[in-house]
Amino acid sequence: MTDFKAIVVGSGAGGAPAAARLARAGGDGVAILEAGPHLQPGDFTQIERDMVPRLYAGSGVQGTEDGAMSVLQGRVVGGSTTVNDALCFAPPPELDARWAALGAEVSVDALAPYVAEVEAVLEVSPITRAQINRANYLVGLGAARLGWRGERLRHNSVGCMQCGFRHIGCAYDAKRSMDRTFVPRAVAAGAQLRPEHSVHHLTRRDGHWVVHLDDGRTLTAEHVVLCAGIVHTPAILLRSGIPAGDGLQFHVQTVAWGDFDDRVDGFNGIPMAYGVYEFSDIYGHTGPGYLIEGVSVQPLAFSVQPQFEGLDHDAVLSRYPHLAGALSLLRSTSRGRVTLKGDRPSIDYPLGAHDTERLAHFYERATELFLAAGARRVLLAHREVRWVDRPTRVPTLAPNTFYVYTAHPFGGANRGTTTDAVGRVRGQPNLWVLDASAFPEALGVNPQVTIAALALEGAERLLAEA
Amino acid sequence: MTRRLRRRDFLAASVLGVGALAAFKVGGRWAIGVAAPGRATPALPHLSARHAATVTAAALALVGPRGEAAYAAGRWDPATDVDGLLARLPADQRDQLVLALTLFEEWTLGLTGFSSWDRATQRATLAAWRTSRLGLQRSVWGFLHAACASSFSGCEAGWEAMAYPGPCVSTGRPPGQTVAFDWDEAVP
Repeated sequence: MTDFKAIVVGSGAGGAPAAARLARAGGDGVAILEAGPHLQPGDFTQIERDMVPRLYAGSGVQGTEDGAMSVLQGRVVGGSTTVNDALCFAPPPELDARWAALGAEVSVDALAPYVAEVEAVLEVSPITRAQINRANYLVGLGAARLGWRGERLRHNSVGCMQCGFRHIGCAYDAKRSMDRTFVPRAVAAGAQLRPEHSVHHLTRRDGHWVVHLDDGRTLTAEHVVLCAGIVHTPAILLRSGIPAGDGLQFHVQTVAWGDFDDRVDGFNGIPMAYGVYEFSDIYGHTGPGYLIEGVSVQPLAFSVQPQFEGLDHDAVLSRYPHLAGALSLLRSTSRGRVTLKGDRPSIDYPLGAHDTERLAHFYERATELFLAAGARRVLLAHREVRWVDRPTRVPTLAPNTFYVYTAHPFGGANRGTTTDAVGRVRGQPNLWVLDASAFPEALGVNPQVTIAALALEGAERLLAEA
Repeated sequence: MTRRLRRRDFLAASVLGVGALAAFKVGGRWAIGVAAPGRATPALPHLSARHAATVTAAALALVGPRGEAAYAAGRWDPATDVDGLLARLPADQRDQLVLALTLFEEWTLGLTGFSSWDRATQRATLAAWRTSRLGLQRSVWGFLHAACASSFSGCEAGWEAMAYPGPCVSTGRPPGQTVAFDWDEAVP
């Protein structure tokens, strides 16, 4: 007799839908263990220095071991969906062939009903013209003047108040993140939600799983579904003596800021709302492999970019209301890994030349875009080349010479290596990985819809076998 | 086969090394600390007096004139802010930040210590660390910069310097866009 029929570790884009589907079949036999707290809209104060440590893994300062790249992940009920920018993309059709080549199995056509279900639950809708702020509009304007293909993006927010704080929780209960959608569905079906339950490792005993928490408590279950994110899913496996951690692949993100004479006030409005596909390699595009997305940030997130320093920092701060941002969502081809250093997960992600060359390409194209939109100059997130007034090739992109981060890490328990082609951990009965750590490569678009659809599909497979 | 030296190993090894050196060179100065110029900083839970002085000096040098004006007017206290940041961090990250401060202090000790140098020298030193060929120095600079910059941009004086009206929830200002513009029909 076990405590639960199934334990789902994590409540984000993978864990919440998986738990909802399992709970629909198994009611109170399902538990969701979430390492972070369960917060309500009234808890989201919009004060960055208070909320970032409460909502993000590693208090918001999680990064690669060499300090070159920040790795942003939510650590709260809802996972990263509670702190993301609510953008929704359908799975790219290129997935079928790309994943098959890596030993993973996916059919975007077969996934379509799950995508439709996810989009219905998340109430996904196009961002309207009236909801586009000037910062994002300027990205669209520059692209249009250059003849680049772009569009207003889709989001999972209903009645958005356009406050600009999606990255530290929606205070107005408009964002349809997992804590407001699939988690309540799972709980309504009988699942137990247990926030602040951080899983350390797993053992097998008498034909079932023993889930060991960081605080020493244990819970037992017949099935375990790991959805703890690309750092902690591999870390739990490694601590359990199961090979994992290889094959990380990130969306590598850096930023450029167009400086306009008139105020832009990007801090108001929907922070990310416009996408430019000209250089992407998904949805039939054949570019070098990065999507450009309009981006606006609040003061703290803006000021910590390391190219600002001394008098220059002061000058940059004074231009803050006049800046419109664009980020690279680069489908990296580098590979990293999660290892354990003692008990602590450690992330290594050396950027290869193919990635740094394309980031340099992004800086040039983003400069071109903002100048076409009317900017008088452009600020690059590079420590040596900062303000430019023409497309400029940056001289070097060595680690720590430019600001780079990822909000979309993938892999570490990859389909085709750690797991089989659909997410069963090899050699371990009734143990599944159904989050982005099972992705064999970087996706190319914001991933929450694809992760959720694959989790629903995986949960149904599990139920069919149970 | 060579073993790749990780940043944390390097930090730990370096601090142990310079710590031992400092024990010979400066004796009691380690424990006494160096006072922050201009204003007394009260005892803080996580930052020693010396760390507080270093953070204050680095923050004023990094952020620039608007930060210095806010500090002089008593509207910004970077040491207290950074100490609050440390309180919110997990213990291992707190230790890393303190380690970075210690390393920076020992490396820049000279005759009087970083916090008592003139601002131009402080800025030049920080700039040298920012662009250093040593990854360790760039990492330490990154720690310092992130802590100091987030301190300023997280307080009301910083918001004013950025012409930012503050968060909607805490200020009571209504959410929504504030800049009107005409939509060019060429934009999809």
